[in-house]
This record gives sequence, C-alpha cells and structure tokens, in this order.
Amino acid sequence: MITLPAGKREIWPGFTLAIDKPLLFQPGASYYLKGANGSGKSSFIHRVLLPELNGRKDLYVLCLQQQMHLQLYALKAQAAIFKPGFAIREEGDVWRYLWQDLAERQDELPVYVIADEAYNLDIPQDLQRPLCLIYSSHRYQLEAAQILEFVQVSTQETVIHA
Amino acid sequence: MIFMDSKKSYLIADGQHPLVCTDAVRDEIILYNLGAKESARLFAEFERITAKKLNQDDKLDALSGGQKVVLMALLALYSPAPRIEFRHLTHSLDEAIALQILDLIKQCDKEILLRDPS
Repeated sequence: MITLPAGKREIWPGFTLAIDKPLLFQPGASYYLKGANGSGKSSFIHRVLLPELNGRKDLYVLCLQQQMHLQLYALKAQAAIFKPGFAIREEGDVWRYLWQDLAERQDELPVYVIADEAYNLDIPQDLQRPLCLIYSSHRYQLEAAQILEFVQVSTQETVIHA
Repeated sequence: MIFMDSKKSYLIADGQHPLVCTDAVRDEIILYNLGAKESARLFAEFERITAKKLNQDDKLDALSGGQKVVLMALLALYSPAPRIEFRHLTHSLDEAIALQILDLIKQCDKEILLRDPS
C-alpha cells in the first residue's frame, strides 16, 4: 500500500502539484488520473508516484510510458540480451514482454501497473498476484476506477482532488 | 538521382512520437522549415489552444505529452509540406484540444490524411 500525504510539491520551478487530501493506492483497486492536457498527470507519475514506488522491495512496478518509443527501444535492447527472439515492435509487445518477465518471479507480491496514456490496458485475465492499476487516458475510463481529478487552478498550480 | 517523388509523398506526423529533436523548440522549427511568419502563427495558435506561452528557446522536454502532439500538428500544418498524413493524432489529446486541432485541419488547404491504426 502506498500513501501520499496531502500538501504541495514543487514539480519544477514555477509549477506546483497540490494534493488536497492523502492519496491511498492499494492492491485490488484501480485509479484513473483525469485531467486536461498539461494539467500535470505525467509529472505526477514521474515526479511523485514513481519515486515513492521505486526501490520498494514489497511490490513490483510495471510502467508504460506515454509516447513510449524510447521505452520500446530500451526494451528491445534488453530483450535482445535476455530474451533473444522476443520481438518488440509496438505497445502490445511491451505489455507481453513485461508480463512474461513478471510471471517468472516465484512470489505473490503485488504489482503496481502505471499506464500513462497507453492505447490499451493489457492486463492478463489469469494474473496470479494482487494488482493496483493507476492510469491516465483521454479515451477510456474503467467503471470501477477511483478518479483522481487534476484541476489546473492557474498556470503555476494544479490541485489533485481524490 | 531521385530518392523520392515529392509530388506523391506525405509528411508523416505521428502522435506516438511527435517530436524528432530533444533540445529546444527552435530545432523543430528548423526541421519543419518554418519561416518567421509561420513561427509567429505557430506560437500564437499554441498559446490559444493550450493556454501556454511558447517560444523558440523553450525546452521540448518541458512540454506535456499532449502539448507535444499539439506542437507537432502545428509544425506540420504551418510547414511548406503540401500533403500531411497524421497518425494517432488525437490519442493523447483531451476532447477540447482535439476539436481545436481538427478545426485547424478542416480550415487548412493542404491535402491531409488522418489515420489512427489503434
């Protein structure tokens, strides 16, 4: 379980993300990051959420980046070394590669999936571990997802309402 | 030697990888061969659509994913290219911004294809 305390965080000089009340991210739930272009959803993922998750030994993080061509090339290189013959050409291949890699881990630790404007949420139906899904999209919204709304109150500040 | 028949080719602008350069807006403007007048139009439209001021010295990595797509679309529209093929144009755009970009495309007298393979 991840808890982000309420408060303001300077993302870069001149732009602040304000969390209006503590944000709880727990396995078994999904969270929809909703907001206009430029409201700070990706910045929240990269500057706030991922630093909290990275380095944790009690969970896995599976992250699909927005406009993922650089991630795709990085995974191509990794696959060339560790899984020769595994072709990675598009987003669907990245999902397959990451899920296959995770399936080889013999434990029951939860996985936090973070999908920033992914084309599809490609979650295995038979996933054997607890899942926490955190995603942003302008195309789809899961009915069960809790909404975190990013509201730009000025060009300098966005407030995240849970 | 002719490598490409420019009468039949399209400038491809793909929202999945909207920008080619990695440093400043100026680099993209040079790449798309925009003059001073077109650049001024681009900056004005960008601010109207996104409410964000942009200038040629701004770093590209300071833009959000959607703002990069807006910039790509404007660069293509104001470039000298007579034909443009947009791919994955609206995927990363919120509805209001997508409508504004599609309006600009309708008003443009270039030959434009919209493809979204997803």
